Amino acid sequence: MADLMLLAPEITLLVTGLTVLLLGLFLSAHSKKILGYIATLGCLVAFVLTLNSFGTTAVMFSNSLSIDALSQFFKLVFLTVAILVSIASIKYTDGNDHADEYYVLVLFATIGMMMVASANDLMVLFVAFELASLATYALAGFEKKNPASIEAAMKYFMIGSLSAALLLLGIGYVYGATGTTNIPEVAQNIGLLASSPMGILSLVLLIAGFGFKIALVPFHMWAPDTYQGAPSVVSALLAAGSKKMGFVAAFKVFITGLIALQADWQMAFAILAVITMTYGNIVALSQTSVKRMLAYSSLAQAGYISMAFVVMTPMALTGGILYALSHGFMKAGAFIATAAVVYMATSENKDILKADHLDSFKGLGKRMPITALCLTVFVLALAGIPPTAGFMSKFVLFSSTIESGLVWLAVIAILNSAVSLYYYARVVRYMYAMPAEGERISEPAPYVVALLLAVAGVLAIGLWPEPFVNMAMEAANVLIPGGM
Amino acid sequence: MIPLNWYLGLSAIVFSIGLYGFMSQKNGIRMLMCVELMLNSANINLVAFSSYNDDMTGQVFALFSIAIAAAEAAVGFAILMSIYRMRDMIDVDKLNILRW
Amino acid sequence: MDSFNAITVAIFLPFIFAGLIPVMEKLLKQRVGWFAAATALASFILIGLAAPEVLGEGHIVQGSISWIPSAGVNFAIYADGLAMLIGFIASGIGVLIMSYSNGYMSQKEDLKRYYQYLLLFMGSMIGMVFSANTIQLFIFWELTSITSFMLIGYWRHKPESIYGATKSLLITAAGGLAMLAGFLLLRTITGSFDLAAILSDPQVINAVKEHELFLITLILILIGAAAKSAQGPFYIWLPNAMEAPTPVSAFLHSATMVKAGIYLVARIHPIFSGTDAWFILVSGIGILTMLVAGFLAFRQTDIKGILAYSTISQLAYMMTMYGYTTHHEPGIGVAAATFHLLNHATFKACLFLVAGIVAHEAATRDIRKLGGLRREMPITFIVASIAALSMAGVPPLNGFLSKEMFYESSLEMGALLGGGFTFLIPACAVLGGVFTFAYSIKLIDGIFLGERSKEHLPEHIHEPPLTMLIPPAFLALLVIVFGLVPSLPVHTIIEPTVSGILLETAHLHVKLWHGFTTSLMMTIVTFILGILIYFRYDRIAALQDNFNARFPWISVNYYYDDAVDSAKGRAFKFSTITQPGNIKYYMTAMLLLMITVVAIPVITLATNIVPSTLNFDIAPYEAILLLLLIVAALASAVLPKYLPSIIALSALGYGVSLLFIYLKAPDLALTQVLVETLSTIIFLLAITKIPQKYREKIPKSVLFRDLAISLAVAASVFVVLLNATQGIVAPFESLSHYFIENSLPLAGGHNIVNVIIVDFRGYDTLGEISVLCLAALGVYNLIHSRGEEQ
Repeated sequence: MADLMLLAPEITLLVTGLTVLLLGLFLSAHSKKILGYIATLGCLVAFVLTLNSFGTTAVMFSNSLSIDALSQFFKLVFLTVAILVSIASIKYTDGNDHADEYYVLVLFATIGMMMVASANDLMVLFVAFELASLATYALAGFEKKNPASIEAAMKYFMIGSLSAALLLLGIGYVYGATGTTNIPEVAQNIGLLASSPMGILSLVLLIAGFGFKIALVPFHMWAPDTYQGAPSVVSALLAAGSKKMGFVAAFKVFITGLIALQADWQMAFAILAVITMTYGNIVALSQTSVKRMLAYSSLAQAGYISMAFVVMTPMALTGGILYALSHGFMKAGAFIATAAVVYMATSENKDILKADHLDSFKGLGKRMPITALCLTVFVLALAGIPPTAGFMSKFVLFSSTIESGLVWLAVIAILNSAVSLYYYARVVRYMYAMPAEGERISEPAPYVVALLLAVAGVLAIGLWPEPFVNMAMEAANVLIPGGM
Repeated sequence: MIPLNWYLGLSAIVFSIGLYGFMSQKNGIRMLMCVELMLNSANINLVAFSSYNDDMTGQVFALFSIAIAAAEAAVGFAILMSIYRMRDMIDVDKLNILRW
Repeated sequence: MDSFNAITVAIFLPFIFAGLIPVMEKLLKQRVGWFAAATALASFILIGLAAPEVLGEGHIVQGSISWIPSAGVNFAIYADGLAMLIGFIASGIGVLIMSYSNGYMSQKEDLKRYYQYLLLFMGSMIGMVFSANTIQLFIFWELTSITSFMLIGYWRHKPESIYGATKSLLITAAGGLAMLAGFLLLRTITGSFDLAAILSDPQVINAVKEHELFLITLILILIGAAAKSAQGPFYIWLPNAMEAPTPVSAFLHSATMVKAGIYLVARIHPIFSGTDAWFILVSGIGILTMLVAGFLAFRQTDIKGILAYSTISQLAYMMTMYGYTTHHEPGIGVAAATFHLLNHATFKACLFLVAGIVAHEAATRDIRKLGGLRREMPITFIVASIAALSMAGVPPLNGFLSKEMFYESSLEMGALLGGGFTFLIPACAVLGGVFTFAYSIKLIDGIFLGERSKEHLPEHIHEPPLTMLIPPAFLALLVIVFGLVPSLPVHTIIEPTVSGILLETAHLHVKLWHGFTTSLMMTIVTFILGILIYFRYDRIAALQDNFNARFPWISVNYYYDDAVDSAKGRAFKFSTITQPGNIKYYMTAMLLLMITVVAIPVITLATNIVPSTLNFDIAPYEAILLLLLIVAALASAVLPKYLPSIIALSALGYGVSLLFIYLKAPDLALTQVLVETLSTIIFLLAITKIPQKYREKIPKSVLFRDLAISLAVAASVFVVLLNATQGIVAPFESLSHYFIENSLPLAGGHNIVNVIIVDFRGYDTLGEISVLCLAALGVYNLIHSRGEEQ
């Protein structure tokens, strides 16, 4: 069945997950390391399969799944993050008896995100959304003896389940008013929803549901706590992967399904985007925990990406989608670098709650030169400094914003980027300008490999953006057909 | 047959009760129960719409969401267990090391 | 090699060779600096290869390599006289600086890092000036900011150098972003990032000048230029940047990087000049900066500090001159500014190198401790005097020539404006010259003349090694040559540059002696006043110190420090308020926003929100069922003890399944009963594991607040629904008919829901199974550890 081939990436991950689960039963804690390699391999295979089928378009399972450039692009984003996280986790889970469960959770979370990417039906979307959420709840609380990790999981879970309830309610109303859960059909039967106040109600509920994952202010408050408390590699998955799942869901539901309510949600996103980026950047200024700072910075980045909803030109969507990919590399990389530092700090018996404090980064340029260099690239990219992926995506996004006449929005965004320089530069300053508080230590190979891969991605998009821009453009074309 | 409005009203009321409990309780288990309430109310909506629209999708959807609700309760319970083991209490208001 | 390729290689060579530095350092050890200098020389020669075509024949060399075609951006080169001039300065001074560094930098330093940064900087600088499009220009621009940051912060252990580095990065990079915003606006106006295309099309240029976004575009771009060239309030980073090693200061912070802003102004000159805004902004900022910075130089005690303020003031000369414009004469001061740009690079770099020599040999840069070094360092003394006198504008040195031209153009501009400006502009120019004269003399007097201090200086001071002496001496030679034979630089490079800026062929005649003109009078007045002021030098400095001590808040630095220092504190306070860590607060914030958003349409539509007819057609037993459900829900939410509330919850669950039966969904009802039973068991299990040890007290106020929020939610949802749902009809032929018709023939099943789940929606079911798997796994993982611990 040719159609099934298009699902090969998901099936590969599923099989990998089950293999890991089964093998885990027979392996001792010590030899569970191999599971990390298996998971990485599975993700790599899935990545290649997805890349291979890029450009194919298909609708399957009674119209509930669609394979198109948009879904494939986001699947690539998720798989990229999954690959980076699995590689880094080889070190993180080293010697942990629960490594098998850990990898299964990571793989299943990835499957959930990928299913969201190709969902063409609100039902699939919701189920997949929950699949990814549940897996990440458990991952956030993976360090059972770390009070911060447990608290992170609790906050994430509580706010998450509230959002799930809101989302379900919202989807219920959409279904009630249009008689269907199929996203393109929703667009066709939008009449009743658009003309009644129920439209607003369901819109608000959906924005709350997706806004939770995207971490838009004020649905964001779990995010800094969770990113800080969760294990760094898991934070990488959350910030770089699961956040994008919120975006792709919102792209599909709002742009494809609820385009008739465009005026309303554009207004909402305009306000939320501005508040989110400004709030994120301002609060990030004072953070001393690097993970927390990265969390606020990813709020700001989510604000930038949300500009795509406001501008809504094909080029702006291209920018937003490209930004999602770049952010995947930059944020995952930054969190993995933090993981390496936390590993260093905890191996020196520092308090685990303070392991990611800026003080741990003092003189990192001497102590962990590769990590420090990579982290420098990531934060500069996050700040939007050329020639990195961050600059390129900001450039496409902001210039399309200006072109469409929303100069004020672009100016706010650029000013925000200027503010963000301050706290990004501080990390660099700590790493290179402060004296080291210890000897040089050998950097664990898995972290190094993951970091170098992420750096390669960041620089590749920055220096040779053409293929990536083209792919993002095709993806945007799915949302606004014929808009090119 | 009861008009659809009544079902929707019922669902809204149950949802709000759930929300009220969720907001006011400090005990994690009580909050979990309230999540169940909210998800149940959403299911009532789905099935009511399904029945009145004469369309199966809503029922199938409800089926999925019932299972998801159970799964969610299970995961939530597990998280609470870990908290209880560490802190000997499950008052979520007192979990406050991560802030600012 | 054709010109395009030569320039491309000249740009990328330093980048590539910077990558090779670590290898070369292994081979050459301390002599790695010569490798860097050779790289710079190679770039210089490569640029020189393009000189015959650009400077000789007056062509503009253009070419591009495809980069991001979809966004209309290529890697493209635009080599006109202006680009060549700064390209030559960057690579030429680069050769001298890197040779000099071989003597200056101690062998214990991390030379690898030092030369890498220097080469990266040089490549970025050359890349910037040859950029044909604004995006490429911006990228190289920010690269120069970053390398400058690295070089200022080169001595990591010194807090001052960290402060200076951070300050320069914050100001110049942020300015760069403003510039980017300006470029994006320029793109909106012209539809192009391509500078060459804009410059070559007079219609586009006219369109820019008449566009409504003209002013804001200009301001944004000028902010970038001013931040980079330390003009206006942005000057504050440059004095702190003096913490860099002195060769770096000579290279980046006097001869090249700070010229980037001037370059930008010259580059966009054809597009924006000839307007009032251009004159007011560019010349206005220029004149103010020139006077203030020149004046503030008096209180500096560090010779590099004096040089820093002097640089700011000299850059302001160029700004001012580029700003001189009227509608008919767009480029009054262009020739003078361009010539001064070249001259300043020669004498100021020379002075910095001398400062480096002095600090190196005398171990101090404090002008109060120095003095009387003329006997011990005669050659240095002569070199320094030539450069300083040139800066002061003394004939026959090159500084004299460009200052004369400055006065001439000021006179012309004043005359064209008429009224009070006729005198005001030349007077300002003379005043700027007076300050320059005074501190130039102070440098020579303070370091080399006067009495030699015994207590502050080492016993034996001698001339530096030749590696350090030749570069400044060479520059001093240039100062003299350019002064005596001005036609040499003017015809070879200044004329093509001016033609490039004005977009028309220019012919200049610069002679040492050009008769007894008004500008010569002004020069003489400058000298007289300068000497007079010099006698009051120390008193003026004391006055300034006094003033500063009394009014610390009259200073840009004060606000910068305040903003930067308190930024953290204020942001912290803000985050403690907005993110208190209490999960209840998070939910409240979320819901309040949603209520507001929903309530607004509810209120605005209030008049017709309540439907005219409500259907109360409901049987008593139905009403009782609904009521029971509500009661059960309420009970499970508020009953204080675990057990009753769990029972209430399962009662609700079973009630809901009754409702499902009633709604013709028997399969679903069955599932609901099963799952409800399961979750009841889970909850019962939970309360045996986590016993309710205590009574949770919830404050009344909290209860009421939450009650209010929930009621508001209920009300808004309810009111909306009342109206919304009347008369929902199946809007189209739904899929269920398809399912009903096909479940038996296609899937062979009677239970439609089951068929849908298993056959038609297999993929969802896959997801669902994964969810359950996962839940189980999550639970297992979280609970499992108990066994291990005990």
